[in-house]
Amino acid sequence: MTRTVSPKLGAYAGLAALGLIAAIALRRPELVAVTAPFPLVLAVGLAFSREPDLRAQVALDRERVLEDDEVVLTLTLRAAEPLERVEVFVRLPPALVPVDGANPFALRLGTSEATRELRLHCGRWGGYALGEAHLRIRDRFGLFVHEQQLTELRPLRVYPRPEEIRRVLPPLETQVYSGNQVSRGKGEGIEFADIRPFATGDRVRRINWRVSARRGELFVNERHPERNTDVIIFLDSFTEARASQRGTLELAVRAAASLAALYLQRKDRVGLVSFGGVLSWLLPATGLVQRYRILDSVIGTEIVFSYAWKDADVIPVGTLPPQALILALTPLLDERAIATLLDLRARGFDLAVIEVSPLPFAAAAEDEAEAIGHRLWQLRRETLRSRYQRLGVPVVEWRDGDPLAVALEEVGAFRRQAGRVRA
Amino acid sequence: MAWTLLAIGSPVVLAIAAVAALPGVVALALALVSGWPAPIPLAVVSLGASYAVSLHGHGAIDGRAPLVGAGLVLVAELAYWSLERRTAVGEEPGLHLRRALSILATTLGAAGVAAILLAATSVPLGGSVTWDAFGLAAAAGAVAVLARLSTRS
Repeated sequence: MTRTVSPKLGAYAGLAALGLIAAIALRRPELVAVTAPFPLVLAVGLAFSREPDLRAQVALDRERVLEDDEVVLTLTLRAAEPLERVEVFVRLPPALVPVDGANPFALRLGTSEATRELRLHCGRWGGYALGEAHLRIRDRFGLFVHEQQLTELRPLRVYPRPEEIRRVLPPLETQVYSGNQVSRGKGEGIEFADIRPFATGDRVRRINWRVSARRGELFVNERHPERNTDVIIFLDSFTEARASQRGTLELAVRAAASLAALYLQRKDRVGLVSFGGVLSWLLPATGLVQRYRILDSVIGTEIVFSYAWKDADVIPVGTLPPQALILALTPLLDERAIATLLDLRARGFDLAVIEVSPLPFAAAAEDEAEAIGHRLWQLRRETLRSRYQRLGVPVVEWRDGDPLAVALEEVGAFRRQAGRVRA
Repeated sequence: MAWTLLAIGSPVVLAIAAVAALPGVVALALALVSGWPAPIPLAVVSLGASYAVSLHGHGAIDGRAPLVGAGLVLVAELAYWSLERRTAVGEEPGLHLRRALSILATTLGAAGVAAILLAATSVPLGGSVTWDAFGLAAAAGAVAVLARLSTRS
């Protein structure tokens, strides 16, 4: 705790000294009476001044919340002796806005414990550490200011609010473990695939008696097995288009979290590659733990500016399993991300690109030259999309405010129509 | 201060006292507008000096001195409070009232102590260098005690 002398103390001491000297010099006892209140205030204030013994604790009602939820921060203050005025300022990140309760606030503390609550609106996803609070204690006469900093940090994870998606984009190839995706291969499953003549070792329960009776020999049903799939969410974090509080990264992170949750519900293995100035990745895995790993990873995603060239070679081996669907969420603004996606397609990965459109975040053209420039930029983007599509990669533009489900349906439609084109 | 100035009979003294008070008003306004506390004691000194000028030619002890002293301390306290309130802080109910009552009590206490002191100065002890030295030592001692109290940890 640091103690600061207020300007008032020095001023009153100076006034007292000056007044008393003036009274003696001018031989006017009235000046003693005029000056006397200042040393009196000082004497009383100094006599009652004590080093405050204040203890504070910060608590959050929850550690994990969704975007737009509210969280209550409770500050508990306890003083050994009554304190006339305690000013409290809780340092908050810009995304957390108090909706109920002032910050900073001032209160008088008795000897009993006092609690104050701050209801915070979580406006943006992210990982935060709350609890840095500055306490300022003023004595009754305002002569001293004691300041104390509280750094009892409490973690708060604000997860992106999931997008409404009912159907995900199924990968073209399935893996070997059981899941919810009907495999194109044949084996033990529910979905009917075909019939074939009975062979030694076939189970009797698989015999199709109707067909067998009609053809005069035994036929068995073949079925498609339900298998899991591997999905890698590729998050481009090289750069973003941003306007005020919203940007393409917000949308991409929200989409990544939603897609990961939905694929994991289907028992698929989901991995994450955050490809940007800082490369981070999660190996594909399944289950609730993986869901939280992915959520914790994506909420820590931020744009880190870097000149360093990066390509698919920097992605660790094993992060991109064979036959995995790579679902890229990118604004298609950075050459490194664009080249890497083309490279992955060239290596035979099943790739789909959801282009988080930067257009809504671009400033409106103010004159004709800017309008032409804007148009040229759009044409270049169209060319880029065509290049991807020629390689059999569906590219769908997803704009802020549009449902993600629509973009996924468009990708599905492209894949159904175009079939699988291998580079 | 206006009240003390209005009681001055001599126009010359009145003009000097008014001129002495003027920087105080300006300094106070400057402090309140800028939020800078340094001009506040200058304002009090200026107003006190104006009062001291108004005592010129006043033979008897002026009985209004305790009220002037209380007024000056009230001005200073309110000015410092005003500066504290420039920071936007959500105050809990009752905090303002407590502070206002505290300032009121300080002012009344100051007036009372000043009145007692003024009454004590009315006791005829005769004038001498010894008394002057004693008074000076007492003033220095008071300041020393305050300094000692202020540096106490």
